[in-house]
Amino acid sequence: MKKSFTLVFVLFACAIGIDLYHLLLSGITSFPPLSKELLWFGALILILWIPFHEKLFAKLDLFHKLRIIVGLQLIIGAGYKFYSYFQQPVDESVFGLNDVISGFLLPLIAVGLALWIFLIYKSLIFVQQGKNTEFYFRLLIFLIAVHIVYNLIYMSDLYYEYGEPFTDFEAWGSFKIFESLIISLALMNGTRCKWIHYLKKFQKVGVFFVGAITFGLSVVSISHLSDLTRGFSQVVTVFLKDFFLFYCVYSGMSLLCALIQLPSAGLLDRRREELNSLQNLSATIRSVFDKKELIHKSTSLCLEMINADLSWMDLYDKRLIGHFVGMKGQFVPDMLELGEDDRKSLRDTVLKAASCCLWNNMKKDQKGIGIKKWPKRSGSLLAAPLKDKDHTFGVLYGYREENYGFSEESRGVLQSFADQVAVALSNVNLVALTVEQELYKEELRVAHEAQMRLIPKKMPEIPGADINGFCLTANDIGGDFYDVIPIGPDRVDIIIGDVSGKGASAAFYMAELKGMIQMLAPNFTSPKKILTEMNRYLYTHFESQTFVTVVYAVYTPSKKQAVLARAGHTPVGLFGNGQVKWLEMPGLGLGLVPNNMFEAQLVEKKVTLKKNEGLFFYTDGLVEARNQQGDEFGEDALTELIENMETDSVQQILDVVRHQVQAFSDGVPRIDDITLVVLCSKEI
Amino acid sequence: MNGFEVIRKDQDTISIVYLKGYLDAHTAHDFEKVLQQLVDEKRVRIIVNMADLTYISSAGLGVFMGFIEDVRSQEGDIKLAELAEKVYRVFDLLGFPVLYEIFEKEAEAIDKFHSTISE
Repeated sequence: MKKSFTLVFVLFACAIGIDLYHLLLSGITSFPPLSKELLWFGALILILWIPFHEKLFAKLDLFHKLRIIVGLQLIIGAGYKFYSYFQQPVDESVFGLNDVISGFLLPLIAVGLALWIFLIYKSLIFVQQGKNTEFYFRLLIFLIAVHIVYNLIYMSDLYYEYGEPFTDFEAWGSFKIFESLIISLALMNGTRCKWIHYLKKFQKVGVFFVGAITFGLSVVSISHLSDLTRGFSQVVTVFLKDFFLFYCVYSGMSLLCALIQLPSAGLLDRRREELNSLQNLSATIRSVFDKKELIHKSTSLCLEMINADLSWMDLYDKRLIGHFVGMKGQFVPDMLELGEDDRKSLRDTVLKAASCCLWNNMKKDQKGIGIKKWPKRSGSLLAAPLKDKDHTFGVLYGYREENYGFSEESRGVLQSFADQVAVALSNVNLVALTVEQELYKEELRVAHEAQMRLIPKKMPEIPGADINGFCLTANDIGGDFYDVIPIGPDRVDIIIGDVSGKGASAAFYMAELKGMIQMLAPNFTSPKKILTEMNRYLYTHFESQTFVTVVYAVYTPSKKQAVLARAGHTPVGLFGNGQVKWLEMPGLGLGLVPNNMFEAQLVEKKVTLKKNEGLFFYTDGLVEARNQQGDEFGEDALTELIENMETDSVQQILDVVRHQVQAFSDGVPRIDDITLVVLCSKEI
Repeated sequence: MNGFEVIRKDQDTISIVYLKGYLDAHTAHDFEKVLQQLVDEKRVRIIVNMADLTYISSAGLGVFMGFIEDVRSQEGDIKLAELAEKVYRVFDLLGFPVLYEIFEKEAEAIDKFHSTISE
């Protein structure tokens, strides 16, 4: 490529050099030597032959190219006309500036500009080139070359014979075989007008006018340019002549092509818009996760796609029920006059049809739909249902003020568009659902962490008492909690409880309770008193349906004595020596009733542990744990399990119970927390 | 999964709500809706028949607590009837027998309502 350019450059330079040499030496450029002609010939043919049409004009857009062509044609055609008009008659015998301009500079400029035009045309011809494009183009160039060679030979003969160049061939009337051949080949190339197909309507109109202008200018140039270059170079003359012949034909062809395509141009534009809208939508699907935005985008795209005056959407899904959602277009307020019942009948009709409906005259059609009064005078309405796999959840509407404003095609277009919108909407819903679930999971995780923090991680060392417990949390937060609080050297408080309700709110209540207990415990010695104080707060501050069940035990290790109070909780088990005794003192749940009633109902119980005796506290989750058959673990199984336990090791008891209940409910999701706390006395 | 069902039956000024199946945090809302509806309609003589209720969780118990105050302030009541042994156990532990009148038979509860009307 570079080498070819260098070669072209050298050839041109030599040709121009020879000219300059002659000019300076003798003051004449006419009757050039054959060597110069051959150099021109070589340079021109080579530059046409080199395939650089793509690279050279890659950055220019089409209309830029057309503008350049028109500009250059104007300069060549009109410019020369203009120049010759003002040219002063000169004394032929005196060599002057005029000779330099008209005999050397102007032809040179003309050749340069004509070449430029030719190369731009070439790039146009090669837009979406076909199988034979290159062949025909090269054939044209070959023909031009042959034409020149023929002329050179012919000219030389005549030149030597008569002493003057042959000029006859320029006459329009006597078309010779070469001209006809070039015209037919130019026609072949002129059918390569694919670039016009992709233009919009107004651009095609532009091309039509450009074609007309360039056609006219080319005709003018053909008849006049040979005057300019005849004296300069025979090769260049033939070249320019063939060039402009070609321009003439090609611009004529593009003019015709644009003209033929004009009537269908609007339709093509529409198709292109529809395609763009569809592509736009799929891009939107990927980028929009906000439902509102998606709805608005869809209705505005709908306007463009089917060329509607108004577009809106009705949605009937669970989350968002709305009419006239995302309304876009003109006279919006008018449409809102459509009554509630009418909207419903409209919707029902579309849902029944289950595909895109077209009404081309709403005045006439409204009865069939069941609409009492259509708010506009008439008009045409398209309505496409929005469907997902199972059901229809909305309708997309397009409205035009004119009757028969939509074609059957628009109907198909809107349906396929609506299908895409439906997919996009379902996706958005799905994403929203997933996000919600993720949020819920996250909330649960936080609540779970909170619950775990509320349960003692490490049991305090209590002299004279062996206390421990476990809490198996459910998938949801069940609301179980327990605490062991040493108060002074000879007292430890054990609390086990269950907050009604689940999830994060239960965890928050738990946190509140824990703080309350920590604060109250040191100030009172009686568990009844402490629970009553808690109830006072809970009854007034908790929601009425929220309550807490608690067992509160105050244990004195030195006396092996426990004072127990039960507020609606599962009973306390007294175990040892092969039996379990259930202690179920009267007492209402916390937060259920006012304080006086609560206090009146609650009965404390004092228990002194004998040798090998212990106490255990649990929550209902333990006995209500279910197996795969749906049977509950049950109080009896718990009793049986603990009856035979030794009181030597609290940890062992915990391990056995945990293992048993886990084995029992293996493979069943845990729906409630399971908590067990065991207290055994120890010799100090 | 265990299903849950609420059926409401109106009888004169008394409304009877039949609970069936598994009343927990997930199904409590259905029960709540029915009670709310009754309160909205000012039908505050309510009997909850739990003959077919197999399980009740703390959230289910909470529903009763959420309405009792409102109902009683309108001189109505929520009476419980035909509780299965296991369900009664849950009510009993929490101290509900102190708060609610619990009857073995639905008819007894109805009679109780009628006798209070005549008083």
